[in-house]
Amino acid sequence: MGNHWDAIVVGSGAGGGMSAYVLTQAGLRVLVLEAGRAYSPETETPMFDLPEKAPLRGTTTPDKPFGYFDATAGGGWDIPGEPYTTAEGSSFRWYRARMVGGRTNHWGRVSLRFGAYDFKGKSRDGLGVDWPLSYDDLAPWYDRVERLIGVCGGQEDIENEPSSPSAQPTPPMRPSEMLLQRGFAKMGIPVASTRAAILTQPLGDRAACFYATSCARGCSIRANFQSPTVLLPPALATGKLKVQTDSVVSRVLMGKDGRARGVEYIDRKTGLAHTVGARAIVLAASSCETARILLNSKTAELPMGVANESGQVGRNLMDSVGTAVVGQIPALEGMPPRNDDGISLGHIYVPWWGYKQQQQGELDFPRGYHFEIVPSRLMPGMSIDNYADFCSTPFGPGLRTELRQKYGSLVIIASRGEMLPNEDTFCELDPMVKDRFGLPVLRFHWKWTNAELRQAAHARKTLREVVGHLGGKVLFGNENDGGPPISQGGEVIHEVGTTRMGASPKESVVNQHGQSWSVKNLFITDGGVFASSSHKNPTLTILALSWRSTAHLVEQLKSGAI
Amino acid sequence: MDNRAFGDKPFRIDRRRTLAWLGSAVAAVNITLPSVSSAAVDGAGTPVNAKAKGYGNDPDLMHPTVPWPKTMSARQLELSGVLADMILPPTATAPAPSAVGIPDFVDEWVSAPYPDHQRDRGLVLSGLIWLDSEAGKRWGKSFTEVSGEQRLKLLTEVSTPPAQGDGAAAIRYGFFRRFRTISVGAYYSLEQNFEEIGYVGNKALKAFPPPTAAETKLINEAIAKLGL
Repeated sequence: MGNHWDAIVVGSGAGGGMSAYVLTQAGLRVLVLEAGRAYSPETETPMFDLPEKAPLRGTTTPDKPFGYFDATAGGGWDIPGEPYTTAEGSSFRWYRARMVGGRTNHWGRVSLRFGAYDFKGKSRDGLGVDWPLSYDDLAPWYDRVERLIGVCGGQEDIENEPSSPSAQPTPPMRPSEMLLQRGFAKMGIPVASTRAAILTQPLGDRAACFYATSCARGCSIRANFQSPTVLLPPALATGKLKVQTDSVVSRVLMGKDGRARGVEYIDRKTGLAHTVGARAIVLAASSCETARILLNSKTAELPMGVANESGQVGRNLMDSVGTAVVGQIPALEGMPPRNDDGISLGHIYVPWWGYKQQQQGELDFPRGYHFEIVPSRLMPGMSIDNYADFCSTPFGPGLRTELRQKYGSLVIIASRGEMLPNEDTFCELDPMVKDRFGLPVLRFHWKWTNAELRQAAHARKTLREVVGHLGGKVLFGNENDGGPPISQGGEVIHEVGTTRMGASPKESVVNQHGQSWSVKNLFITDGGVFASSSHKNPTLTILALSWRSTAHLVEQLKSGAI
Repeated sequence: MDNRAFGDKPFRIDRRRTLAWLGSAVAAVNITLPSVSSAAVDGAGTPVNAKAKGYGNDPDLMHPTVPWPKTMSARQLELSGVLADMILPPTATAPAPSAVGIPDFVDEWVSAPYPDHQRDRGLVLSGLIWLDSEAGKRWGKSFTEVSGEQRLKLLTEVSTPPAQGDGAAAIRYGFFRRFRTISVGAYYSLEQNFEEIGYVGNKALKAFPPPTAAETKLINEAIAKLGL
């Protein structure tokens, strides 16, 4: 098998792309194995193409769950031939991509640092586990990541919400956001400038955002963060990196010395299995996919799988708690038309404000959430007729007039909250079902506890009150509208925790450097290593942890320790 | 004529529509919401487009094509045009839906192989058939042959929210709203109609402009009025 490579990196998204970047910058030879196809945002992203160019006006379908022009290639909630299962009584949805850069191509770009509290949750309220590192340990790595990928954001001083010293300015508020800000202020809730991995000023050879088209399409001018536009090009430029696509890693191969000697992968096109060796293995296939690889690597000597002496691989699965409320605000009717596209996110968001209330025992749930705001004057698509639902005339000349009057008067606000790990939420290998490559698939177990259900109810109640203060009517998000008050597990696409880091090998899979406790040359740099989920979108923290962990790996490789 | 979709089966159109709408509205920002349950209307006697295939999970975004064949009859297309033009009649500056391809889009929609579209197929096609049969029952002519006033009367009835417990009226109302969603969505998502509804984006800007003095004044007036 040989050791031509210093490291094999499995996956090319946030975690794997960063590992490849750091390793190659250090002069090491890296093979990235990517399960999906090659992908170039510069040539495959039709930035300004309109709904009318796409089938069904580009609306969502099972083939493209986020719309025709969404960047995700070869993926979605269901991938033909690559199923997953859910245990009886559980529901879980798993969004995957099969392309270079993985889910960094379509992600929401919200970039919030975890704060000091987020790393020490158990010390604060006795729940979950503490991380084996503190905010101060990770802060310099956040600094580096933000300088490299480019973020916008404000410098507001917010409890447990550290800002980025290198942040470029967030664009100014939209008119509708000026009103929303006052609605929240009425309740004593401050808003802040959105923090996102979107350039508002040029950075290196990358252009600034031109305030049009959705980031979820990918960005051909490289104004937002995607692994294929930001991490992989400099890594490839070193001449030390090979990105091998269509390579589905099935297991880690162990040597007799207790070290990983390589991996087995399956060529997606031929179905044939191959092996390749390296001095070190970095798994960054996504939280759940990495857990699957480790569990599937079991042998007679390692019946629990590789790096699973703790039994924690696949456990502690978490996703963000999601809810949303939609309100119609008459005060926003009749606003003069303006180009309000902006950065395709709200220009403001609402950080969690309830730490003091929680400390004083005034809330019936332990962890926080934040609100993200959807811009109100989005490009008309197939949903535009929803405005007709509250027009006084169902059709005819009056409908035209009223639609124009009401367009832009809907506000959509979503909450993203912290989930605690629980015993009943995990993934494991399905004992029966295999995918088209003959590999066991994951079976998911999912349960929200009162911690999440009460938090979601609080989020929706808060939003209904805001809509009320704005003189509006709640269209979605009422108690009695028949819908579930909380997202399905996995639906927010923030899965973390399945190979968590910790202070001891008994309760965790890896140490604070993402290094397996038992297999010293095996590192994990995806979201699986999270010890807690926070309510903050995970990508920025995956990047910071990946850089820190991979820098440690570089040291170990260079010193000959592994 | 087969009008099974217009029987008295329970049909919860409102919730489904709400969720479908939320699904597409929030997709832009990666917010996902509960999926829509698949239930309600069957094929209504209309053969489903069973052999058609979707565009798959990795279509060519630079050169989009619609891979499924369209299936509506000339009569169904004609009825769609008349109905869409009644929903959004042309003005001096805005074209009629039938003049900008909306009937063809309805065809594309109801011929698509996805579950939501197949369900809409039953609702929409049987609704169109019902318009003709009801006009025939009342006035002895097809929907397009009766007078403008008679058409207006029928559409007014169909577009009126039904009384509680009137299942047949609820389904007819469901048809109207679904057809309106498809035709109005298709109409305003055409670039030529963006300005008509007040959308002036999708243009590259050097900087994002803060609200103008006039916009700020409007918002401040709203703030004052709401006591914020």
